[in-house]
Order: sequence, then structure tokens, then C-alpha cells
Amino acid sequence: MEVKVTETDDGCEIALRGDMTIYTAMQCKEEMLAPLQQYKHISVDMDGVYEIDTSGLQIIALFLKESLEKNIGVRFSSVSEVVQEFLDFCGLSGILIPETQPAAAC
Amino acid sequence: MDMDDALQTFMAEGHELLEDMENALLSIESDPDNEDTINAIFRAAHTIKGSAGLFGLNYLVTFTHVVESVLDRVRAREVAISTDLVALLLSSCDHLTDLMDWVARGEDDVSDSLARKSLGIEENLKVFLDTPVAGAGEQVSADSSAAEDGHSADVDADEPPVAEPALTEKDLWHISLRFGPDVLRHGMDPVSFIRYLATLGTIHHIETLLDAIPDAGNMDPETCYTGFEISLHSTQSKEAIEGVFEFVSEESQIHILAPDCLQEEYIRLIKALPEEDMKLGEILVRCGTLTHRELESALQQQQSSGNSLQPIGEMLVEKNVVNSEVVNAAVRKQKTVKEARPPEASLIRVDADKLDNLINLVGELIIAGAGTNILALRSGQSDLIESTETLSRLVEEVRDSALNLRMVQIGSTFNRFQRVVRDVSQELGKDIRLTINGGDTELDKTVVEKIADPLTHLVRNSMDHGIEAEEVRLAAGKPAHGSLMLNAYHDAGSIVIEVSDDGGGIHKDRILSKAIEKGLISENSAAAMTDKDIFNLVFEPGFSTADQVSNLSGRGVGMDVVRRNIESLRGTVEMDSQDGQGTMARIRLPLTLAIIDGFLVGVNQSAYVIPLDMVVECVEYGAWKESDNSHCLNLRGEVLPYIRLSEYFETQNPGHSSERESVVVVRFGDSKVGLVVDRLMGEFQTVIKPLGKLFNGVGGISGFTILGSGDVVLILDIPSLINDAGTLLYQTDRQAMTA
Amino acid sequence: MAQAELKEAVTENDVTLSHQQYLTFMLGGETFAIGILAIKEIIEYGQLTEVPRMPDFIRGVINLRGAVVPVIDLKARFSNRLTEVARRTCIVIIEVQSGDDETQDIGILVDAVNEVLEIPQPDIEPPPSFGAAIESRFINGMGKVNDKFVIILDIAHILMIDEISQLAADHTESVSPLANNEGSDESSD
Repeated sequence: MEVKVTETDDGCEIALRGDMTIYTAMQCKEEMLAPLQQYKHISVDMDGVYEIDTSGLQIIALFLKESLEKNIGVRFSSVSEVVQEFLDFCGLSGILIPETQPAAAC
Repeated sequence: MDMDDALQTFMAEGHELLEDMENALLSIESDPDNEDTINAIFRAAHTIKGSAGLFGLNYLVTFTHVVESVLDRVRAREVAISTDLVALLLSSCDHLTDLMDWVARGEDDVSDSLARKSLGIEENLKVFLDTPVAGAGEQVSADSSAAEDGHSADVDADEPPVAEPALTEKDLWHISLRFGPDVLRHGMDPVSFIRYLATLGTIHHIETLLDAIPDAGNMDPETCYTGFEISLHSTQSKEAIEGVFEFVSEESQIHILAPDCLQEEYIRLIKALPEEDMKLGEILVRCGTLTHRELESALQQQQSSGNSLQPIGEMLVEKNVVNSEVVNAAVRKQKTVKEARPPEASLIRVDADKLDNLINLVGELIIAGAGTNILALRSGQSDLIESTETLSRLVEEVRDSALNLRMVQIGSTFNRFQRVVRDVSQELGKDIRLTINGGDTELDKTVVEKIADPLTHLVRNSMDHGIEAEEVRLAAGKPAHGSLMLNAYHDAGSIVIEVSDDGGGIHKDRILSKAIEKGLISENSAAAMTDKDIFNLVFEPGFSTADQVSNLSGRGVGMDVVRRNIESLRGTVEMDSQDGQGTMARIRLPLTLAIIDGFLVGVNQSAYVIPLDMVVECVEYGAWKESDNSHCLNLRGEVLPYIRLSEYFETQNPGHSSERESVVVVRFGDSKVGLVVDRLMGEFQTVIKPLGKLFNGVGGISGFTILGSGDVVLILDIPSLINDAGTLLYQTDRQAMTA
Repeated sequence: MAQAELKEAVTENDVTLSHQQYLTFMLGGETFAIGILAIKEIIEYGQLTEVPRMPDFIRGVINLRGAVVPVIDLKARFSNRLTEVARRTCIVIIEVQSGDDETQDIGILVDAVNEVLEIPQPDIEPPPSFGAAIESRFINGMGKVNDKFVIILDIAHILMIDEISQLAADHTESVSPLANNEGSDESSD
């Protein structure tokens, strides 16, 4: 999979492409979490994720948890159908909705 | 990742299940009321479907689902076992095997022809789903009531698993899952289990619990931290739901609460789980398995007791001591049900390659050990010699147990023939019954694998040519049904497998005339042949006695291949027959292909190894010398053909005889032969190295071995030597006659 | 590529030729070369066990660290004269294709091993159609080294297992003590 981090005016954008599965979990965790050390506002584009499993879900959850702790504003700009379906199935439809953002994000 | 491993396991188990299913199907015909057998068949189909679902093999799931639905009706006594149904289920079995093979090839989707075949069989199976209760089997009397028709609605399987109709609140199961940390690493995705679970009913609510994920520094992305609380509408049995999680049941915490279970069981569940009680209680409420009222009442009790530290679950259970015992009893019962399963759980599945590797290493160990022994003896240090002797004994034990690992019972191979016999007898229109003896006889796995084909040929041959048509049998005063017997036993370091029938036997005259006609033997030599020689002519290439060529055998390309296959395993096969009474093919195979005890002999400068199992005795040659030209010895009155190895192998100075030649008497099967050698050099363990392609044609040699000194030595092929000795004897006789 | 097709498309040829590194060795006073790709190792001549009833060019088998490896006498294969074992006699272990996926190690007996050298492609001429000491089908080409020609052997072709085992089987049959038996089909395949 490919994790592309692009700097934006107020933070960065993480674009995920490929599969978020156990096969890529190590890489995914490392690369997706790295920007949390640096930026205060992060936008995540998951439009290019065509496969996801429980390990991928765990990384998203970890990402959200960490960003909450560090008070980082996170927004999911776009989510592929596969991911949305997966989250819906797990009863986690709302997890990516920007309610996880701290109020200061706007 | 281990995904491939998991799939491999599934394939291996799938094939075993199919084998079980086939065996059960074959026995159900004669015993249609045996509930255990019916259940076994159902379980097999069910498990295959379940595992296939885990791997997302939809075509397998869809197909097996139809099979399972039919079996479910059989189990509910709504469809009776009939010959047609068994035949259809057997072909379903075959088709499943094909589908699995397809999976094994790593293809994502099935080929068109397989898919069409699936549809075809499904169509036929659906007949049994659509028929009114018990209408399908001709064996069932028409008066068995059709009143249960309504009951069969929930096994209606025209469509692959979808929501069952008419669900009520009472069908709401609660399933609590905490997957083991290594589940992901083992190549299994928890969510796919739940997706499969969803095919057993409708998922009412899922709560995904991600709280267990530690902070970034401690989180291992390949470890599973995820848990699920699920409520599921389903009319399936607890067993069925449990079956979904069979693959992860050992490493994971799985709680399945039935719709009608006691409230206390929920409380116990809450207690058992790692999360906070309160939070869990809310989750259960959200799942719909506990009502708010129930939770509140539990909470109130907790407060009134004044001890807020005591978890609610504990309280509730304390308050209902009796009930908790009921629960315990239920748990115990469930446990015993689980333990009552066949003892396969105590087996470890090991990669055959690993085993081969071990055997190879043991082989090297033996060679190295022998080298050490020689050095120790040479050094003359008694301490050292003693300790190497201990070592050798241990190595010997290691060798035996290592080889034992590869030993499998021949029974499962034999059982496969139930099916062959059934199919072929139907095809031939003969009633033939198979009896199996000595199924627990063990032999090397590599041998077992390679013996199935030759056995199939012999069995078919017996059924085709051996056992007569019913009229002929009755006329000969035999029972109308023919008998075929498979028998196995150990004998002198070999395993003997017999395929016998009670048919008409081999007609010697017909064999002889055929052999002469085909130019295999001359008329002159025919006169001198023993019965055994004549019977064994059927193994000659290009020989076939069938007057009519059937589509099973009789194409003349069978029996010689049988013999060649068996000989490539260092075995032999021979025919025996009693006119009018039957025929027996006797296969003799070495127990193992890897390591043997050897007896070392010297001829001129060369050394040879004789498998010790075959050595009968050693005698001094001079004492038994007969007239020079004969190839026979007189051994205590017994005529013993012999071979002078120096002549046989043309080592230097053929014809020279050293002062103290010895005769090693060897036996294989019923035949004995003497081998004249220069020196006897004692026993030792031998690792057999195959001849390889280059030397496959060398007569009299079956393999190589390496001595402790590092020298390569040839292993004698006793069966072929015995054979050649017979021929030499025959030639000498002829020369004597013509002279 | 057209050239490759002409050469019966024996892929090993192409590999050997393109690699351009060769081991040269002596055999009956002449210098030969083989591509180093197929060579596994070179060992001193050691204890060799003869296998009875084999044609002369199959000298026997050796123990190569626990594996039994057949040894071929190239000189005997080409000229029916046996190589005499001397101080510098070596066995070159070569891995050959023995089936679809299988390989087998075979040792070849040589008088002495010289060196590993590069022979650039332009310095290699096609095998002569006649006049060479050995059959041209066993030759990959003639390499020019220091203004002298060395014969580059097509080792995959020479050690073709099927061919050798056929030769061995034919020989075995002719020397079998049962050879004069009229019902000799018992010992044949």
C-alpha cells in the first residue's frame, strides 16, 4: 500500500492507497501515525483503499485515539465504498464522522 | 503470512471430511436408519460449508449449502435414504473434491464446466428439497404422514443462506467474541467470521470493541485487539453457530448465549469479559439481548447492597445460587459434548516435508555414527567404545521412532475401495461385496500413497475378470453375490497385501495359448512352466486375457504397469489361482523405503549390502559344493539355487574362487536363494539412497548406501536376484538337456 | 532469437553463452571449456565405487557429503578410452536437468582443471561441422583463448540423463548373464 503525506496550509493530508490488511499493517501503522507527531490538522483521504480487514480497522482506531489524545484535528475527506461498507458492517458507521475532532478544529 | 497454511489445513481437513462422508454414505445404504451415520454425513457437509465460508469460497458454500439442506431433511426424516439419493450424494462428494482441487490450484473462481456441473447437481438435489415429506424414497411407505410439511419450510434451500422467515424475539442469540491476539497473524480476519456468521441468520446489532488497543508505542499492528458483541436472529442450532468459530475457538474467548438462556448467563458473561461491567451492560442493552429494565434492576440491587465495589454480575449470581449451579451444569454438559468428539484433536498435523527432512537427518546421523564407531574401535579406548555403543543404541531408537512417525495404517486406503467396489459392481451389473482385513497394518506413508493405483487396478481386474456373472455363479453352486477381499499383514520385514476373489480363477490353458499367440513364450517353454509361472504371465507387458474388452480393464495396459509400479517400490506381486475357486494377487512390499538393517558382504574388492530381514542363514560354501555346472546347492537335502555374485556382477577375475567362500541364504516370499560371497562383514544400519534415473536399469541392485568410512556401497535387490537365479537354473537345465 | 530457434531452443545454451565465463580443463591432452553456471563445485578424485554392468564411461558413484553422485568419464564417452587416474585428476560436479522440475548432480572426470576465464562472445566461433575430435552435437562453440582454440562443450547435452540412462540400460542388457535367454523379456522393460 501507499501512504502519501502532503503538506497543506494548516497541516497535512494523508492519502491512503491500496489494501489496509494484515499484510500491510506494519507499514500502514508506522506511516499513518508519523504525521501525528508533526501536524495539528490532518485530513485523511481513504478513497484509494480497496481492501480492509480487522487489522486495518485497528489502525484507524489507533489513529483516531492518538489524534484525540494529542488534540489533533482529523477529518476524513473521502472514504472508499469498501471501507464504508466494512465500517457499516462492524456497526462503526459513525467512527469517521468528524465528531472525533476537538471543538477547536474549526 | 500464514494464510496459505490455514488454507492448506482446510484442504487437508476437507479431503478427510469428504472421505468420511463418502464412507458414511456407503454404509448408510445398508443401514438407512443409523442416526449416527446420518449425523456424521451432515456434520461433514456442514463443516466443509463452514470452513469454506471462512475463506470466502462462495461457490463451495453455495453448493455445499444445497447438499446440507438435503441432508438436513434426511436427518429430520423428511426424505428417506434411497439408492438414487446416495448415488447423488456420492457424486456431490466427488464434485466437492473437484471444487477443492480447484481451490488448491489457487484459482479464484471456478471454471465454467465446474460451475455448470454444480448447477446440474444442485438441480438434482433440489428435487429432494421440493418433494413432500418422505416422498422421494421408494423404500418409504406412502402412508408416512405429510403433515410435517410446514416444518420443512426452514430448510428450504432454493436460495443460498438468507434470512430465515418468521423470526421472533426468542430467536435472538447473543454472541460475545474476544479474538485471540494471534488470530490475524494466523491469516484469519475476525470480520470475515462475522460475515459468515451473518449467513446463518440476520445480524441484529454489532458492537465492535476497540478499547483494548493500547497506545501507539505498545500497539503491534499484527496483533488482534478487537472484540465483538453481536446479536443474531437465527433459527440455527448452537452447534451450527459454534461451528462458525471452530478455527479460532482455541485461542479466542467465545461466548454464545442461546435466546432462551437465563438472565444469569448474561451476568456471567459480563463477569467473564475484560471490559467494565457497566459498559458491557450497556452494550448488551444496545444489542437488544438485555432490556434496560433488567439492567436497572441489577444496578439497583448493587446499590442497595451498599457495596458498590462488588460487580453486578457477581451479585446477581450470588443471589441466585441455585441458578448458577444450573448454569454450571449446562456448561459441564456442553464440555462433555465437545469431548465426545472423535479423538482427532490429539493428533498433530505435520508437513510431510518436515518429516522427510527428519528422516534424512536421521539417515545422516546413522552414517556419521557408524563412522564414529569405527574410529572408536580403532582407538582402542574402552571408555570411548562404551560411550559410542550407548550412542548407537540411542541412534537406533531415534531411527525406529522417526520411521514410526511415517507409518500409517493401510485401512484408509482399503476403505476407499468400498466406493470403487460399489461403483464398479453397479456398472458391471454384478453383486459384489468387499471384505477388509488387517486394516490396522502399518506401513510407510510414501508406500501407502503409491500403492493405491496398483491396488485399484487389481481390484477392478478381479471384479471384471475374476468374479463371474450371477448365472454362472449359481450354476457353479456358489452364492449369487461375489466376494472380494483385501487383506494386509506383516511378514519378515515386509508387508503383504492380498487382493482375492471367489471367482472362476485363472484358466491356465487360456493364458498359455494367449501368451504363445502374443509371442511372449514359445510352445516349448510353455511345457516346462509351473502353475505360478503361468499365472504370473498376466503381468507381462501386452498381455490381456479378457475376451471382451470392457471399459474398466482389459485393455492390456494394466497388469504390467501394476507390476512395474510395485517393483519401483522394491516390492513384488504374484498371482495365485485355484480353478473355479478364485484368484489371489499377493503384493509384498518393504515396510519402509528409507532405512534398513543391512548385512555387509564382500566380493573381490567390492562390498554389497543385503537387507538383513531377508537373510536366513550363512553357511560355508565348500561344505555344500555340488557338481560344477549346476546352479544348485544341496542344503540339508533341500535344493537351493545359488548365484555367485562375482560372476553375476562380472567383477574382476570371474570364476576365481577364494579359499573361504560363504553362502548367504536369503529368502523373499516363498523363494530362497544362496548368494556366494568372499567375505561376511557383519550387520549395520543402512540408509537407502535411491538409484536415481541413471542406474534404474541395473539388475540386481536396489539402491546405494554410505558406510561409516564414507564409501558408497551397493544394496542388493534380492527379489530380482531370486528371479534371475531361477532363470539361470532353467538355462543350465536346458543346456544340459540339449547337450 | 532466430539463432536460438535453430539451436533446438535448448535454453541452457543461451544462458551459458551469454554469461561468457568458462572453466577450462584438460582431457586427453586437449583443452575444453564449460560454462561455469552449471558447475556446482570441483573436488579431488576420491574413493569411487564401481557400479556393475554399466558402460565404461559411467565410472561409478562417489559420496558427496552424504549424497550419492554418479561420475562420468568424458574421455570414455567421446573416445572409448578410459581416463587414467593421476595426481591432478578432478571431478567437476555439475547440476543437470533430469526431469521437468528435477535436477541431478553428476560428476565428470577430468585430467586436470586449468582456470576460470572469460571468453567474449565475438571470440566464439560455431562448432565445426566435421573434423573435431568429438561429435559436433556435443560442442557449443570454439572459443579463442590466447590464439588457441578451446572446445566449449554443451554440457547439458552431453549429460542428458535420458540419453545416458538409455545407453546404460542397453549396455546392462547386453552384459546380463541372462542375455542369451530366449525369454529375455523378463529382464527388459
